[in-house]
This record gives sequence, C-alpha cells and structure tokens, in this order.
Amino acid sequence: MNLRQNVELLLELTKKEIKIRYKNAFLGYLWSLASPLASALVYYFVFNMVMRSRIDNFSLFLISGLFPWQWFANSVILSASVFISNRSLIQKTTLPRTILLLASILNGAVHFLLSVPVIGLFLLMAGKRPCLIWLVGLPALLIPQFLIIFGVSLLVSSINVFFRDLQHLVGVLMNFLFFFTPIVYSETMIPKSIQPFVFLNPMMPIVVAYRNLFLNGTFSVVPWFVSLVTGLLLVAVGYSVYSRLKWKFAELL
Amino acid sequence: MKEPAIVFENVSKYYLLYHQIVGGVKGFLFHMPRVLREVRNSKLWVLKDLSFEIYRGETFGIIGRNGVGKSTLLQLMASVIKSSSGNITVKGTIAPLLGLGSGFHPDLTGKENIIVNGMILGMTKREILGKLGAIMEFAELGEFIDQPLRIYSSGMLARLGFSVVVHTEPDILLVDEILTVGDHEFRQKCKAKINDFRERGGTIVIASHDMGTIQSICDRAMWMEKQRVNEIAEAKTTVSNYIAAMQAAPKTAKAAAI
Repeated sequence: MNLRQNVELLLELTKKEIKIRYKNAFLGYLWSLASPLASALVYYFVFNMVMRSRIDNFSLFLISGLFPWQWFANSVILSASVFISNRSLIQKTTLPRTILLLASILNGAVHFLLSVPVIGLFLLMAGKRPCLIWLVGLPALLIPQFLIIFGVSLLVSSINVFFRDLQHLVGVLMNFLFFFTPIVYSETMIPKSIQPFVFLNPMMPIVVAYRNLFLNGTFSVVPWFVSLVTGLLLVAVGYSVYSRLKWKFAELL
Repeated sequence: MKEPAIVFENVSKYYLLYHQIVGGVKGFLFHMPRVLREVRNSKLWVLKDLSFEIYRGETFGIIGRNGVGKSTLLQLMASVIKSSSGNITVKGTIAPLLGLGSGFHPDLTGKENIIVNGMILGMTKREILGKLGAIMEFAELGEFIDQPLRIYSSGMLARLGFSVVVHTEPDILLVDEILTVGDHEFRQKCKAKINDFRERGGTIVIASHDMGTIQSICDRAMWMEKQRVNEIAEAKTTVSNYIAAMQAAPKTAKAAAI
C-alpha cells in the first residue's frame, strides 16, 4: 500500500468511527457531550462549591482545560486496547498498525473540536466572546497535542500487547496526571518548590496554552514550540519502540 | 514452464513463550532476570526447515492435524509475522480471506462495511466504489445490505466477507478454513468464483481439514507433520495417504499430537 492509499484508509476508518459514534445525528452529539460535561459538573461541585476555589468563572476556567485534557486521556486509554480489539486484522493483514491508532486519535480530535462550541457558549454566558485568534491558535495547538498523544499511544499500545495489565495501570496513571496538570487549579497556584517538576508533564504547557487561548484570547509561541518539540520527541521514541515490537503483535494477540 | 509465486527456502519459525510476561508487569518487574532468561530459552518450534514452491495459477492445499503450523505458514506468506530463519519470496499481491466478520463493524450497514473492508484489504476508495455493485450482487443479501451487521446471521456475514475478498482481485488468495460456510447454493457460487479466479491465473493457498474440498479444488497438496513437510504431491495422492495414515494409527498419532 502506498501513502495515498494509507491516508485514504485512515480517513475512511476515522469516518467510520465518527459515524458509529454519532449514529443518531443530533442525539448522538448530545450524548457525546454528556460525559465531559458530567465530569465537569463533578469537579465544579468539589472544587468550586465545596473547596471554594478563588478562581473567577470557575466553570469556564475548568472546561477550557478539561476538554483538551479529555482528548489526551481518552485517546491514550483507548490506545492501550486498540491492537487487542483489532486482533483478527493484525493476525491476517499487513494493514499498517499505526493507522488503527491514528484513526482512534483523530476520532478523539473531532470529538474535542465538537465540544469547543460549548466552551464558546460558556464564554458568552460569562460576558466574553470568542476571538478571531482561535482560528489560528486552535489548529496550531492541535498539532503538538496530536503528536504528544500519538507518541504516548504508540508506546502504550505496543507495550500493552506484551504486558496486558498495562491498560489498567494507564487508567490509574491518567488519574494521577490529571491532578498534576493545572486543570482544576491554575498553574500560578503551584508551590515554588514543585515548579521545576511540572515541566516533566508534557500536557502541562498544552493545557495552559488552551486556557490562555480560550479565556484571554492570547497565544504565545515559545511554549507552543516547546510542546511541538516534546511531541516530536515522544513520537520518535514511541515509533522506535513500536517498530521493534510490531513483528511480534500477530504472534502474541 | 512453471513460474513460482511463493518460494520457501529452509524456513523455520519458533515462538518465544511470551505468555510468561503477558501475564503482567508486576511479575515481570519482580523476577526480571529469571523471566528474561526463561523467555529466551523457551523456544516453541512451529515450523522446521520448510522448503517448497507454489506455482503461479496453482491451487495449493495444506493439510495436517491441528497445531502442525498451517496457520503460521499462511501468516508467514502474508508477511504478518517474520520467519526465524530462511527465506520467503512472494511474487504478486496477496490477500487473506478474513475470518467471520473480522474488520467488520456490527453497527455499520453491509454497504458501509464493504467499503471499509475493501480498503483494509488494499483497494483504493475509487476501486471499491467501482466494484460495489458487483460485490453486492455477488453477496445476494437483498435488503439486508442497508441494514446494520448486527442483525446478520453468520452465513450472511461469511457471504459478505467472501464477496469483498474475491473482488479485491489479488494475485494470491490465502484461505484458512473458511469455505465451509454459507448454504449450498452460495458455496457453489464461491467454487465457481474460485474456478474463475484460477482460470485468470490466480494462485490460491488453502489450509483446511475438509479433505473433500482439498481433493476437489486443489492441484497439489502438502501434508504437514511434526512441524515439517511430510509429503507434497497431487492433491488426491496426498489426501489418500493422509487419510490412510490417520486411520492406521489414530490413537497413537493423537496421543503424540497432544
């Protein structure tokens, strides 16, 4: 298969997954928003009503970081089982295995983009309005985030074929990482002593950048570039592990 | 002159017994040196020193008891796995006949599944759209073609799967124990299609336990025994020798196989 065919197939598989997800048109869309909004509601209750966060417009603040985070977390968690659930294809066809991963990540991207109007709605309710810079900032941020997700997914999915309990571990790790990422709090609230370590979290600059974009309409190039480099590095590491292990997939599944 | 389509030269294949680590991260981390040593030493030989040629335009059967490595052989041909040693040469495009409904999604309609499946098997979107009519006609699913797959019977799934594969028009078709599905009429149709495929010079490799099928459609057959080639001859000869051997020593053979 050549590159064009692979891209065609990737788009078709993504379309397929989206079609399945939104099978019942509008209701499908509402359902897909139900789960991110439900978790937003829970965090709103805990951190704003109970813990009385000092952040203004907490709900808006929360979802502008939470929605991009969920694309990352859901895609990585799903990636763990992607090869196992496509067992028969891997055992019988030479279909590039990365296409299965990419389709699932792209599906998550579409899902995330469809939730952006909700952020816009909250913004309007807070008396602000979406800025034109979104049109540049949003696509620009999608790229490093996509790379980070792809890199981590390559690692997780390949290794999970060997260690099947990794998928449970990933769920737990995602929970940790969620609270180490400034989503329910602001990055300025992190104690000085811990500051140097937060940069080990690849999702940290991404989430902060999304929030600045959505809330303040600002976009800074330097953190974006750092994320881009992080993403490329993760893909390089993930891909080298994947290429070493991929020949064993059909044997082990 | 017979032109080879698939050539195996001294091909061997063993699996390392990864099940030790598939068990879990915890066990692996706590006993790393021991587990690594065990994995490295635990070779399970599936194929030993296989050499044979399959010619272009030939229908080639592979028979043998469960676990002699028939499916591994097909996976090697499809280059889904790598051999441990030896050379494998495949000339031409190769397509596997997928198992019942693999790559199919139960919530998509028959038509939608044809498109996705065809592309997975290597067709471009344009090609598959061009053949959509022929595939639907061949599958004979009537109104069901626009229904989601979850209401299909297993026979209908097999029809759909087979219809897509035969229309991908590969040079080499790999069949792993599938032709026994569908009703009588559809089976006749499949056989006709396979004959058609052969007449146009297509190569077919079939691994099966159905001696009748092997005898009736294969030109030559290979009998595998204990990870090795036991006999390659005309299909009729191989099958009758195989059956004779099975009947002669059914119990000892079975005990040995287990």
